[in-house]
Amino acid sequence: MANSDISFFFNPKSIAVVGASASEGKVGNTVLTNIIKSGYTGKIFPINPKAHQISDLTCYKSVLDVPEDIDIAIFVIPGKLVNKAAEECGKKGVKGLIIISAGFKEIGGEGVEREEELISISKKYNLRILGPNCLGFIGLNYNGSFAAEAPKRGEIAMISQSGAMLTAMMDYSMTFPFGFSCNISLGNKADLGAIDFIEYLADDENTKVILCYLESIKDGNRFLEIMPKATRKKPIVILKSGISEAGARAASSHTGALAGADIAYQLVFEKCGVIRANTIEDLFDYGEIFLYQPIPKENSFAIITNAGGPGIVATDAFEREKLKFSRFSEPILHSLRAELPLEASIFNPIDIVGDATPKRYEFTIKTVFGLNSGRNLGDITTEGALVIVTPQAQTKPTEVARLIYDISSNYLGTKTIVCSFIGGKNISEGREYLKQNHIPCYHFPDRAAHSLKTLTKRRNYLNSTPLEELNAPSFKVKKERVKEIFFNVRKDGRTVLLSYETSEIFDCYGIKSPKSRLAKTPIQAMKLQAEIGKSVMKIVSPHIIHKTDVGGILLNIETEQDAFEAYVQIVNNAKRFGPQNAKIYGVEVQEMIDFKSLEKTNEIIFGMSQDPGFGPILMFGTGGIYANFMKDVSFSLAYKYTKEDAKQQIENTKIYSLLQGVRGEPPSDIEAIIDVMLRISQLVNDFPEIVELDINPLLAFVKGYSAVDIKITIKR
Amino acid sequence: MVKSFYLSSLREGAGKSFLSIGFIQKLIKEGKKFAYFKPIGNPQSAFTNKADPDVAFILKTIYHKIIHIPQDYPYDFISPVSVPESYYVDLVNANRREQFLQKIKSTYDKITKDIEYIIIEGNPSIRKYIRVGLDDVSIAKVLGINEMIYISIDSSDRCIDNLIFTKNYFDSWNIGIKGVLFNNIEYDYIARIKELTEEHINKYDIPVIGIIEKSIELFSPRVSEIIEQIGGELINEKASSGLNNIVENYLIGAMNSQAALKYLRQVNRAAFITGGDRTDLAMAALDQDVSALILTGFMQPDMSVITVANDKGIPIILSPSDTYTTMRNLERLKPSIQEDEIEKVLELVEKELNWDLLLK
Repeated sequence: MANSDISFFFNPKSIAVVGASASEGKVGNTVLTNIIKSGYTGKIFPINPKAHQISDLTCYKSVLDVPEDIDIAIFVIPGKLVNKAAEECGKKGVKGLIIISAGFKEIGGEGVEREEELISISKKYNLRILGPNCLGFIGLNYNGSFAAEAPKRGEIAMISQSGAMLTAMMDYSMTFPFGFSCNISLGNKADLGAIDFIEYLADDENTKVILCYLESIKDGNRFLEIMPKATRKKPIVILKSGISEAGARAASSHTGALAGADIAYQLVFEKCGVIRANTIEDLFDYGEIFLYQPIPKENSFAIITNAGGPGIVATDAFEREKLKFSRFSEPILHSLRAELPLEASIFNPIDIVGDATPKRYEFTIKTVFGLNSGRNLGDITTEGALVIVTPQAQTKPTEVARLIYDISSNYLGTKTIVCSFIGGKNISEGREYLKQNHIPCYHFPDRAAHSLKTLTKRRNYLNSTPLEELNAPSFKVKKERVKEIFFNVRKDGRTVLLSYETSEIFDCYGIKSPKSRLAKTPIQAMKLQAEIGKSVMKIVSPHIIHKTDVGGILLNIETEQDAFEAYVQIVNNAKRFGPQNAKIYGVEVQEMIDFKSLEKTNEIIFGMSQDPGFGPILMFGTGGIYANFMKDVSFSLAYKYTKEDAKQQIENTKIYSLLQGVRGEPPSDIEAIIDVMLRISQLVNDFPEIVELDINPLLAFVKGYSAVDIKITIKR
Repeated sequence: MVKSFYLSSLREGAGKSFLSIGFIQKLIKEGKKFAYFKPIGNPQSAFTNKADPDVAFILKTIYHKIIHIPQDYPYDFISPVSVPESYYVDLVNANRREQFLQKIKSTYDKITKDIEYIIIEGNPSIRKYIRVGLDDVSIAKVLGINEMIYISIDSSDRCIDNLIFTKNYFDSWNIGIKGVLFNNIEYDYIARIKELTEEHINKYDIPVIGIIEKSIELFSPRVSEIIEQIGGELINEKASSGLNNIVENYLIGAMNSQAALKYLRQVNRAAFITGGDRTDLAMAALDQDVSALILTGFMQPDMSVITVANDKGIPIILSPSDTYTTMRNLERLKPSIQEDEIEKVLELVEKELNWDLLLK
């Protein structure tokens, strides 16, 4: 069992630098100098077989020669020497290694083997490892990296999978007022990954916000377990790069093809309350606003501007970000009307016009927040404000900035304020003043709106029921029988289920699908047609995916003679137009739902595809043969999938309005559809071997539904 | 008296060699004394190699390796006479015919002395060599055999017509049908044969010995056989382990890669045939279940294609011909049973045939 306490990386009592060097310019020298210069107060042991003393410190040939305990060792030796030294550290009882050395998985070949050996050493000695192939670790107590310049100390924790990206981000952060509680470069993640550090940092008092740059997430299950708890404690922002379509390319189902490679991350982040940054700029904007501004209680904001144009731009941005304008009470409106010039617009967004003085800004801000003393301003619904300043003759931006800071620090408390000072030379001083005083100030209103939106998202998340308290509904189902069906399919050397098998599985999970039986000869088809009645007949072959394309479906089979002829025609078509060597099991005779005679029918697609890291992903949307082109779909994780999730998923599609009923139509049976979605979710969670599942179409009726065409693929 | 399994068919390519391999193994397993006999062999080339390839295969893999019959066991004991596939009418005159029939008879008498069963692999079809009097019926008559096993390979109702036709023909020569063996039957037709057995075959009192489903695996060529057939060249030695890959399907890539994907996804273990300059298609194919890439027009592919193929162990074959000619050559390829497949043959034959009836 790995040591889950990794606090020694943050507060080590002693550090060994394996590969410490006296020569300036060498990484071994930079790391040692960085530790000393950072004011580290614990013990430092340089390790170098060729030196006796480096930087006035006694140097040892090996960690085994050090007479005292060592908490962590930082490796700056060539890759091929790392494992031997790691073994020695294990014997010495060192708790953690920071391996800066490269020459592992990233070089392929022997590097892969070397990393595997390193992992086994880590397990053998219960030795936790950061890296290899990383920049190092910069904490509040020491700088254990080879970065040229350490960033300011502060309350943001930064975790990065790329060392170069981390240095670039640290450098960029110099232009911001905030500092860092730690900067962690993950490297190859041979042992410790982002989740391990996030788990620790969630309870770290020195850290208020966690920012991450990640290229991949190794352990999806652990992410789902740790993150929802961590995000309840503090905001976690992740910039996830490497969005690739490679995964989607190989997908054979509708769901797989429509989902794309990135959808899983999007869903997981949302479910776990992780804020996703799309750009580095986002990452820092979010870090800044979470660090310095309170989360508003409601999505209810005011815009105060001294220019109409930027006001409209900001309004558009609010619209895009789904931010809501607060409604002002009668007394507020009266007050604004009384004090502001006639040409001012007193409704939200408030335009206090071009000749606005600092005083006018002060009055307006205080009024909308109900801070003007001595007056009863009625209900105050404004929870935050965006103040826009353009440089006009009377504006005095720096003075406005000072006033905003004054109001914010003295009166606003739990209310949010952000600014957009638009311009260059004339407003730069004011903007800088705000920035240094922890009021986010953006060049343009769009970014301000974007940041505010992030706050409201966080508020919604905090108001929602914690994931660990949620339980997906559990239906009584015949799980054993489904297991048996899967066993038989595998025994038959198949991975794709045939329709009569899927039909039985759905039956086991209480989902209605039309009655269906397999005919192996035309004579059998005749008998089945007589039993079932009006039928649709479909080719049954695991190798024929697109049945319509090969003439493998015939509708309206009304007589036994029709069934005989249809059988012959379908099999002949499949042999002529289907793939070579397609194994034909026969023809399915399925009850034909005459939905044209029904009052209303909507074609829905509901499916599932497996994400290798995060498990089943469910897709709901407009179905039928144009499903892939309409792309009217929404996704959700099957993990802890609740009725609320299903409802939300339906509401996120365009077909939702059709299901509600348009042009006088009655509504469809949405409750019944939700029931199917929940049951499918249970099925795919019960059987992780289901890799793909598509119901297309799922016919929604005014009363009830029918799962007409079902495709299930399982693992080999 | 020795019991004979004389395997005959109306159509060529009925799988008599395949069945012989299965019969031999089953009799070994049952501990029976037996011999395998192919009266007339068809050498691949009369000048370079006199041996019939099927006989040579049985000698090598079963006689020598399994039952350890000495290496010097005469080939002629298994197949005393060799007649070419074509141009034989002028070669076999009345004299030769007598000689051949005598040789067949004397060998048969020699090898059947101490055995319980003999498996006789008949001519490619019961019509074959009828003009020169070396057809299955003539041979059976000479050997004193009056019952044959009829092998049917039709996965359509034609099987009934052929069976009745053969029965009538045999009747006229006083030869009976020991049973009908349905071989290489498409899966979808198996249930139909069962229906036909009840409704038609039983009426003629012909027992059904068994129904063997078409085995994609056994009747699919290996990549190495494909190279030989098309006169191709393997250009990535690193993927030479893939030469043993089975090819179940052929797919020609001529459309854009996105469209080709739809077809690629539907097939398993395919040989994907495209022009050497179609990097996009080659890359799309390498991402799917392909056994080999066949690049026509003798055009070298892009380096990226070779790299990916090497990683995945997929052989790339350069074909000297155009795509159509390459495909036509492939259609003529008749894959043979490989040494590592004979156990699978036994498994099938043992499971699907009525051995109580056969060994009775």
